[in-house]
Amino acid sequence: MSPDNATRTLVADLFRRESARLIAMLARRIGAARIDLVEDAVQDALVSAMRSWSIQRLPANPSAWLYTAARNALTDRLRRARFELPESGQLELASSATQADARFASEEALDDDLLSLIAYCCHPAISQAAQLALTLRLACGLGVGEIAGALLTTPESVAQRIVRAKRELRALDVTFDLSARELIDERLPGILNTIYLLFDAGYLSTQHEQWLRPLLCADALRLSRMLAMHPATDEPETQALAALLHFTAARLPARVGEAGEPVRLAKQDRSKWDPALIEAGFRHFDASIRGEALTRYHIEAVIAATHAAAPSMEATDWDAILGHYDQLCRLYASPVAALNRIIALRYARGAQAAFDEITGSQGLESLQDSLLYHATMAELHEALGEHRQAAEEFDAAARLAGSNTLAQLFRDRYQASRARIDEAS
Amino acid sequence: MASYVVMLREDPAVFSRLSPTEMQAIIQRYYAWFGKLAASGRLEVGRKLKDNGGKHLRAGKGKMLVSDGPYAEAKDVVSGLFIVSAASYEEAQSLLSDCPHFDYGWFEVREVDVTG
Repeated sequence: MSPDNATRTLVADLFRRESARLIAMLARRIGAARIDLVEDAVQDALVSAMRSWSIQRLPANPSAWLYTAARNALTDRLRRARFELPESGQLELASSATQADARFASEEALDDDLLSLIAYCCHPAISQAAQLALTLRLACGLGVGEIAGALLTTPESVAQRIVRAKRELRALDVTFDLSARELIDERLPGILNTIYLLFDAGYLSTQHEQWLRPLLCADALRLSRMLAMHPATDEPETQALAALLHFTAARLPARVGEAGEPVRLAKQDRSKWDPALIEAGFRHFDASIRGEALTRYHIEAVIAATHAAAPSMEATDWDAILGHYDQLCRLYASPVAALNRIIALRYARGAQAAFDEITGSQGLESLQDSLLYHATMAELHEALGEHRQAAEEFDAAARLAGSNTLAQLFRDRYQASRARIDEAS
Repeated sequence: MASYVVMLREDPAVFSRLSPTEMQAIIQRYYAWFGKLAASGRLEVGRKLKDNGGKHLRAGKGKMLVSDGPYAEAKDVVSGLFIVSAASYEEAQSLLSDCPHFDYGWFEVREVDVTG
């Protein structure tokens, strides 16, 4: 840096995005078997950029700088590792440099590379948890510590999970070459599920201090859009997932209160919902209903669309939403779906009907000690004017909250319920 | 005002486990700090040195002896240098007191000896 220090700044998230982009591009060129070398080379490039840019002015084109540095670092690492490598890999990297440089500038080529990388990460031979960890590491550029934070586990276990997954993929000789059929039949379900989980990890976690992590949601949204637009993955279920995530993401601006606390649907200022995202959601939704396919993403998307189209809680078509939850619970039963159905039931048929259902319901046992269950019970008791029981349930929810913001929210509700008991007596 | 050469020394291994986001944040920290120093008019010049390809040159019998090094793999690498102007060594020291480099490495500071 010199005294005439230029005022260049780095685009937010540049390193994370470039990490994914460079890994995708270089790994595809030298093959999945050597993905570790690629990861190390990209890390070399980022470290050297960091050490250089910290002291000097930023380069005019940071992405191009990083690309050159990563390519050189990879050539270097390939040379050092040559005893275990066939010569061809090295030659290919050197001779296709110009071609690759042209490729570097093309967004479409980047999407192809990124898609190959995600398909590799979401190979059905490895567990769902491993698919997610690998995607976060390679395709989203998160560090092991950050992934551990997102998945509520330790960095050691994330690192182990990633190493084991890569070993399994190597043992199976998994490559980036995929037929269109393999991609759709074998990989796409895992890819979509991983993106769904990625969004979920960012959307609401009861255990994080930073309860909403917009970054993970934004990544999931971006990837869902990329897959929906890519001719190789433009399937009805891809469109349905993209629609669901767009509708849900549209509500994010209204979900955070002034003190950073979560704001529930009933209290959200709907004028803060993002109209552009809702519009995009409807576009993906229209594209999702071209075929016969009816996946859980379709059902969840239609529920989200119903909310998005409603001007208020009262004007929401709760009967329709209840019907969709009935279908979801029938076709894709899960405790969370069952609990959400209860909430829809409350608005469609009243708190008493919801209360009778929740107390008599099978399939909710696994949720009975969860924050969501206690919070739902509390809401129902309060709607029924049972303030003492509501206070107890809010108290239980507050104790289960993993973040102070969330705990405070339930403590406030607890106090409000207590105050109503006193008013009544 | 005297000039002080500040050499940034570090163990590059410190950085190998950082995530992309952490690295970008470090750049921003250094950048903000250097920007502040430049704005105060105390920064004369700053340069990063290349890690590899450096050599030691010595006189031999009739010809120059060249040996490789220093290496980036070493635990103590001079990664860059800059020159600040300060009224005294103490002031130069205090100019550095909030530099983010303290979190990742250390400094060697030498006053430029000006002959009359």
